[in-house]
Amino acid sequence: MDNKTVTMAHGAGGRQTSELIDEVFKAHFANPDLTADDAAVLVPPTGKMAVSTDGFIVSPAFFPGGNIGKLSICGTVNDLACMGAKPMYLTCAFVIEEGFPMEKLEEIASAMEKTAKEAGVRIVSGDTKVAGKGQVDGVFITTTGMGEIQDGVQVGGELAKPGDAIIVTGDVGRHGCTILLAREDFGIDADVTSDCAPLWGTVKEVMDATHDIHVIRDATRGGVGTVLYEIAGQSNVGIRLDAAAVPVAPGVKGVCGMLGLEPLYLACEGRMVIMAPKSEAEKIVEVLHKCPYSKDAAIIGEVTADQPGKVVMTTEIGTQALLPQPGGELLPRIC
Amino acid sequence: MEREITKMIRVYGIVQGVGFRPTVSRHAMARGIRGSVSNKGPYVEIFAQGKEGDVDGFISDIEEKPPKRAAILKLLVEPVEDAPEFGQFDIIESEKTKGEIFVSPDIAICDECKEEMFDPKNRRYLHPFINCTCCGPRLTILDSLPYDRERTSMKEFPMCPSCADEYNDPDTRRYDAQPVCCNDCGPEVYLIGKKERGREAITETRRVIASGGIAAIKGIGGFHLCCDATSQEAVERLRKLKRRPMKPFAVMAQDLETVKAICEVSEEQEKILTGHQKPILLLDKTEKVDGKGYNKHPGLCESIAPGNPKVGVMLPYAPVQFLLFHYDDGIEMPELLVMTSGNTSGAPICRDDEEAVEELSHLCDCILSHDRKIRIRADDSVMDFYKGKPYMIRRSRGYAPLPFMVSTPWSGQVIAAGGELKNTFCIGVDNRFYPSPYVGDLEDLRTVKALKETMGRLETLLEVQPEVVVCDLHPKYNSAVVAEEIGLPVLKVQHHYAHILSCMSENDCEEKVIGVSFDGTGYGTDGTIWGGEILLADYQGFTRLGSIRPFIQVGGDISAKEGWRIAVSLIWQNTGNLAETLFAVQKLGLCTEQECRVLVTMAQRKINAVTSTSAGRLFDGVSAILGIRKASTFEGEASMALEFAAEEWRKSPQRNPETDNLAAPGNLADLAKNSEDAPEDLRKFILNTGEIVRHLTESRLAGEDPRKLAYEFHAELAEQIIAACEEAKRQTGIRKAALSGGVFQNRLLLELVDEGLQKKGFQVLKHSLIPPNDGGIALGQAAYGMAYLNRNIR
Ligand SMILES: [Fe+3]
Ligand SMILES: [Mg+2]
Ligand SMILES: [Zn+2]
Ligand SMILES: [Zn+2]
Repeated sequence: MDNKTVTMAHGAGGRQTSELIDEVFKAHFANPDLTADDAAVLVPPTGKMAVSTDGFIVSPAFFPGGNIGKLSICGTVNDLACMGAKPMYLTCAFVIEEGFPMEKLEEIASAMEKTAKEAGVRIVSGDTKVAGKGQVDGVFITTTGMGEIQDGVQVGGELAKPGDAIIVTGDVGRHGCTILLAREDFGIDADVTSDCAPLWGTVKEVMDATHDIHVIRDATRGGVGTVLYEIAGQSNVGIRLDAAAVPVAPGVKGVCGMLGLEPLYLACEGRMVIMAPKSEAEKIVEVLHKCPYSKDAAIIGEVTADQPGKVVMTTEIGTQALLPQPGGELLPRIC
Repeated sequence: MEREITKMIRVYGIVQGVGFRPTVSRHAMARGIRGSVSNKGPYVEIFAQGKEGDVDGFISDIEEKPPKRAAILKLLVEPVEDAPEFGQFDIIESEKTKGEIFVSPDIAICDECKEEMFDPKNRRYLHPFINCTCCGPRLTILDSLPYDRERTSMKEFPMCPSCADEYNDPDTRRYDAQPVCCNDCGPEVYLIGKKERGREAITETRRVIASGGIAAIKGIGGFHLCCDATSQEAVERLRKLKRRPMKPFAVMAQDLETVKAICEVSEEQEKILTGHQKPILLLDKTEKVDGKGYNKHPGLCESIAPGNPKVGVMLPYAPVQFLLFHYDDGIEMPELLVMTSGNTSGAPICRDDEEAVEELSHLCDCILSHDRKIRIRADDSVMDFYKGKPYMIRRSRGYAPLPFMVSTPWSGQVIAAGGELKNTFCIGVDNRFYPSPYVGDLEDLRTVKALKETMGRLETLLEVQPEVVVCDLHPKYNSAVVAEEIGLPVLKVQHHYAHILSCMSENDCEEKVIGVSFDGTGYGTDGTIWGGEILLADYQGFTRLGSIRPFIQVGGDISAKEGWRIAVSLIWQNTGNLAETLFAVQKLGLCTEQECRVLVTMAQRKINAVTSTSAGRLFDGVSAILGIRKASTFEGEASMALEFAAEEWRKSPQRNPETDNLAAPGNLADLAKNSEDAPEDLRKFILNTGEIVRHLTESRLAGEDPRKLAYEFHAELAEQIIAACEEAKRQTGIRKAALSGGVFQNRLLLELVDEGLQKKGFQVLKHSLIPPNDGGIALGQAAYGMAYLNRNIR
């Protein structure tokens, strides 16, 4: 292919489109199920199937620890994993801005290939559109994943029970912090990389160790804090957090201290929140510590019957403050 | 023979739990009046039968010689036709009638009881719960009215025969004294988790304190943490355990002489110190500036109130507190004890054993408790003085829930949830407003729980069913959440407007005023943060006439603790570019280059940044710029340090009042033009605080004495406020100003503004018994709610 950048012709459906698909996408995504026809024809799973779709827009598209390609696989695969589903198939649709460097597109496709392989998922169908300059920012990717629900585990946001331990599979807020630093040019040289990772392997290990799990939820946009509020609401339970137990990387802690931000509200792309009976918690954490993306897993709190719908944080000096509700402006309250 | 008449008298006010009925009975007997007296809950009802002259004399006796602790607010007299013949004068046991209710605050031990307590021949010798009709616990033990033993937490303690005799005999000081008890009956002190009870428990507690340890002690309204205030080591240990590096500790002195040895005490202050309310008084330490700062009195260790020219002092008010100083066990005790609230950071003061064990065990060496239950917490009140008059900082024990009355003939019932920090709430009934005892900082959910509980309790005590609930406008206040949960119609009142309303209500002012609301932060009606506001206000509503110059407050709540962040933002606003900001910031040693870059980026890009006119933050920022305090370990620390530095300069011989003030930093007229391109309704005037900051920054960079600049800051800000009020007067014709908001705890600013405004012919309303800080806004909210009810419903 001669072009160094993506042109409108790449999206017109003609020769150049085929070239782009063959040389960039097919070269990376090749597998027996990848279709050249209008639709992929697949063998359905034997049990129930989980389907999830997500659109990915991230600025910048390349960041320490990953890029939009890796993110687009992880995001969807992790959504499936949270339902206890082993990811099987994935489709992807690209919207690319005219003028986007071909080399970068290659890099994105290559990251997708690698991540898909690791997650054990096959990319089976795709679509490519080119948008005029300025109509999109770089590249947008939408992925849809299909997975097979594994027998025996029933998890859901409404299933948290008072007495459950709350586990987070690693340090929080790294993706959000990484993006913020990459985007805003604060001139901070903090050693922070995105936590972006595919987590099916991790979830499987946990499920193999115990079936007694009530909630698995990946903390993406809105961070762990938002997930906790969602579950407190869905299950109508209270959540008590021990602030000192929440793992935060030193770099993230430094940046948050500087900006006055709460790491629990920064996005993650490779972190799960797990709620399970206390009796199972130690075992789960032990398993997590052996998995590649959850070396820092920790029990950070418990589910309570009082204060339903609220997340209460016991701080290091012993105050019991409500974790601010997600959303809304960050407004000073101290008079 | 002179004609016999009968009259019915109703007495309203604090007439319960203060020995009112026995006093009335004595007056009646002295004049040969027959009839009866009974407690009706809201009032005392008296029938007086006798010769006309005697009845009238009896009535004036009641008015002129009521019991010591009573406060008569209203006395109604009606003639009774066809009255039955009374044989004698009877005291009738309580029955209930609905209506106006006054609950007495707790009353410090009286002189007679104190004497008895230390009289080895008295049967209450060293009795830790001694009380009588004119002293002892009231609000804190009360379940409901009327005030009778079975409706208090004394219910579970049957009286011994001797106490019962006194209780029933109108000739004793304990006639009808509900909490009466003695060494043979009533509650007992004990150490939690140890075997010592009674005398041994007190001795052990004294031993712990005398040997430098820390004791938790249950008093009237909750637990205190107590240690030797003369031992630096003991106080430092308490600081470490309580995680309270700098915030001053209150001190309890054994007697007035001891206070006078360490502090300056004016006549008015002496009256308050020894009075029956016994607040913590903020007094000037006796030893003065020594060039480097303030020196301590040899008796008081430096760590009590580090770097602070004042110290908070109170005298003992509960019998057990006297016993800590004086007992017959041969232990030598210090004359000064630390008496700080017994709570973990953020939580309300502990009031029962369970809470004490949970929260205080790790902070102390022993816990001295007792089994008389505390129904409502009452923290110690804290009071400053301004021009010979009380200036309340925290209104609680001894004062709450005494009502404030306004003359507006309102009717209805409201409850106001108050602010977020230093929360108190307020119940309004017609023209009377009952501010609650201090609740605390609602950032902590245990305090939120205490707010809900105490609200319920006070509603029951006062027998009110509010029609509306009033709260702050801030979308993230826990007090607003509590207000919403009540399930009544909710009215939201802007924070700084509520401050002004509280000042108006305290001063019983109904007319429109120019409100100077200088405060920390509050949520504005435009979604930005306010705090240095000039408002035109009355009970209907307000207009924001002006404010200090808006700046960018970056970092949310953290900027309230780290004033250097505000300093960077203020400097950046003045210079308008990064290079100059970096230069100044580095020379002033405010932060690292990277921190400065980050803050400027945040301000520019509006990341976690809001527009703010907070005067409190301005003080913090200036304190940092002048190198006085870069950050605060407790609320207001940096601003207080700025005030102390300014006061030090004011008293310093280096000062030359002629040349000291700034060159006029621009005037309001100039600045009004700056906002001319703003929409009509936003064309408010802006105080020229930007220029003040510019001048201070430049002078400090040029090496000027920070104390001098601190003084100039106060003087110039006062000038600007006065100019703003003049401008407001020009626009509105109003010459009444009300000063409120936490910044007016700063007495130097208060004095400069107050005197300056008076010179310009303003009538100036100030706080006295309601705090200017957020502890006072509930009153303003309640008054707003009441005015609203009377405007819209009736
Ligand atoms: Fe305030
Ligand atoms: Mg999804
Ligand atoms: Zn007494
Ligand atoms: Zn007795």
